[in-house]
Amino acid sequence: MNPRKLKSVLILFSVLAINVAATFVAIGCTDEEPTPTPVPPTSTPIPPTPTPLPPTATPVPPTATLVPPTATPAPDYSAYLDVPGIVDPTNFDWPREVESSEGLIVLNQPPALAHFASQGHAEIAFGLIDTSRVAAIYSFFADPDISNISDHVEGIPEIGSEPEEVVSLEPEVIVVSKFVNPDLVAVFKESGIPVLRTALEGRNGDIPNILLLAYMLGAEDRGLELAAEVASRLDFVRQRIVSASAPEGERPSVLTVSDFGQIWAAGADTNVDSIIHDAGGINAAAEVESFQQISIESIAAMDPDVIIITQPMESGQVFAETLMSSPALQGVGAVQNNEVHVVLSRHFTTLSHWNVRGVETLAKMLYPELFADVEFKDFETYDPE
Amino acid sequence: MRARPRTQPQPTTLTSRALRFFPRTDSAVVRKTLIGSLILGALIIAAIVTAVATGPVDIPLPNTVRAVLATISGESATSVTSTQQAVIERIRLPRVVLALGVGMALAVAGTIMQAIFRNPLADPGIIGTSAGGALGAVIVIAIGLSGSVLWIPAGSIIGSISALLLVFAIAFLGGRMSIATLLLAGVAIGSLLGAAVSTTILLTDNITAQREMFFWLAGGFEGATWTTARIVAPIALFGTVIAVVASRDLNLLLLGDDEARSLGINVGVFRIAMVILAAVLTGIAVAFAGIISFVGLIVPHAIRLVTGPDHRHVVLLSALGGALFVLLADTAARTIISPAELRVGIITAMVGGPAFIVLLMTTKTSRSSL
Repeated sequence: MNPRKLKSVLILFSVLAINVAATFVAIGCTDEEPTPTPVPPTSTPIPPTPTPLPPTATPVPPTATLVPPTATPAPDYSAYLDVPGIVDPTNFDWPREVESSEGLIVLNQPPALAHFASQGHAEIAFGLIDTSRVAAIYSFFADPDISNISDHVEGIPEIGSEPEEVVSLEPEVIVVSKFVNPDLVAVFKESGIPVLRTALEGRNGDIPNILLLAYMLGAEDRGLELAAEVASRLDFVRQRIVSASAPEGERPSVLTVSDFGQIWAAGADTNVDSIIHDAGGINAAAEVESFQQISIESIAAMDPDVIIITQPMESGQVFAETLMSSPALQGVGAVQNNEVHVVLSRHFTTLSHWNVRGVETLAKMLYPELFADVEFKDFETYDPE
Repeated sequence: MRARPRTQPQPTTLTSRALRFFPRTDSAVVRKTLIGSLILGALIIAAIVTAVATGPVDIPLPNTVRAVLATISGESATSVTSTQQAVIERIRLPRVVLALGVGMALAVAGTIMQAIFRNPLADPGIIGTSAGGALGAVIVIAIGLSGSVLWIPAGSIIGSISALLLVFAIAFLGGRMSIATLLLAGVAIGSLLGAAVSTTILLTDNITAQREMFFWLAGGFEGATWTTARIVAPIALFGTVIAVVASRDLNLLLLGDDEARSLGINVGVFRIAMVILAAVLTGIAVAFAGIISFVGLIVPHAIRLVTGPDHRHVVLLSALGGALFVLLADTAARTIISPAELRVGIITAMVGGPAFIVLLMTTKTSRSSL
């Protein structure tokens, strides 16, 4: 071989070797000691120092690089600490224990089938778990005038009031409210089905009930989500009202009535009283204890600024027209100002977090200017996706 | 063991027996009726004043009087606000008139029932008319016709009359009606219709309708208008007049069918006429006020205890007593927990139940009877 050609080949191989070595060094994939040979400036394949990121691109925080991509932060279950009925609120493994006036229940695993004897509990459960875990419904759960879950009950067995029907479904746990007949509960318990009895109040979104049911059903994460949504929606309404509305003494008086042949008003110690208060109103029927029958004359005496009618739309409209045309009510502020409204009764008459929808509806009715920019939406039911 | 000799009836004429049973002369009866009517009338006037002057809307008494006078005269009252005038004219007055009419109708119906069945425990419900009226009303509510003010009364009246016809049909099955058959048929049909009412309520899917049925069954006057008052009051008054006219024959009926027949009464026709009258009075009361218990039972019983069994004053005084009792009960129902209201049927039951027990004990002690 021509010595000059040989020299050229050697130089070429040398350059290639240097390039390969430099490449390995650059990608850090070699355990070999770096070649001490200085890299000629012209031969390096390493790109120049990258230009700084634009201001909108937030640098990745240093800690982020330390956490593997698959790991998520441990959920904060501290909200469960104060929930009545959870025996050990630090235990999120199985078995779990919950207790109520009906005794202690030990659950070795998430119940695959549960029965909810109260509509309010069912509405909460529908927001927490798949409906395939709901043992049965009653006919009124499917009534859109009353129930907030009527669109989601298809495929769930409908039962009557006979307790044997519940027992035959073999639910692993039954949840009842304080209104459920003790004799009925005794039948369930004697059949070997544990019963959890909790008080549904329909106040402040019933968050303790949401968390208790979530814990019992093994849906604690979804429980946190739903409770947080309920709390934030209530806070949103309250804060807007507090920040911008009239002082408490000057708030509009609201009368909630329904006509079932007789006129019934929601008085003090009712969930509707709580809804009115949360929505920035004063209950005009505060003198009335609980739900009581009143007369047209009583409405005239209460002289509310707003009347809301909580009953099915069709009969509610008839009742509204009756009130508007009553000679005895022509001096009442609500009638004079055309503030007699028929509302979706299921948002007001239920006892669950859906009462927050009642708060939102009424708040927007009482303070339209405060909530003109807001379109409130219904709560979602549980979606595994 | 020797048989005890049977007591032979005393050889008295039927007329003398009747006179011994109802010994007073017409003037004595008139005097007693007049005194009783004056006392009850005065009490009714006081009750009316109280009822009209009392309510959730605070109306000064002078304004109440002016509003009442304006209602009667048809002219507008000075210094009375339109709300005050409307409350008096459109709410309190028709309610008072309706309560008086219903009380009168139920008490007279009870008096008639107790006379023709010769049983002081008989009441308007005993021949199934109350249950029939209730079933008619409940069916109207179940099929969704309760929106109109007159559908429920119409259903109730039809139910009452149908129940009565059914009872008569059963009672006449053997070709001749006896009191026992009529009574048993009434009790049976009443129970059957009561079961039908319960079944209708249970089978009604609509919870709103179910509530309406329950509340209607508890009885009340909150739906009172001049329309309803103008229907009930004349019928109650007319029925009372008929019963007063028939009171002498009701007396004779107490002596027994044979004795009454011997004294010139067509017992069968008279009894049917009286039962129909009682059913119409009960039906009209139930139709516009729901089930109001104890009025037809306790009022005639109480009047009879005070005045004796002569229907020449028992009928009229029972009518006045029934009107007074129901008006007081309604006033109590709407004022005790004002601005809320109680059902008037609850008040009459709460007062009537214990009062009836007391009356029973008193009657037993004094051995008074029809």
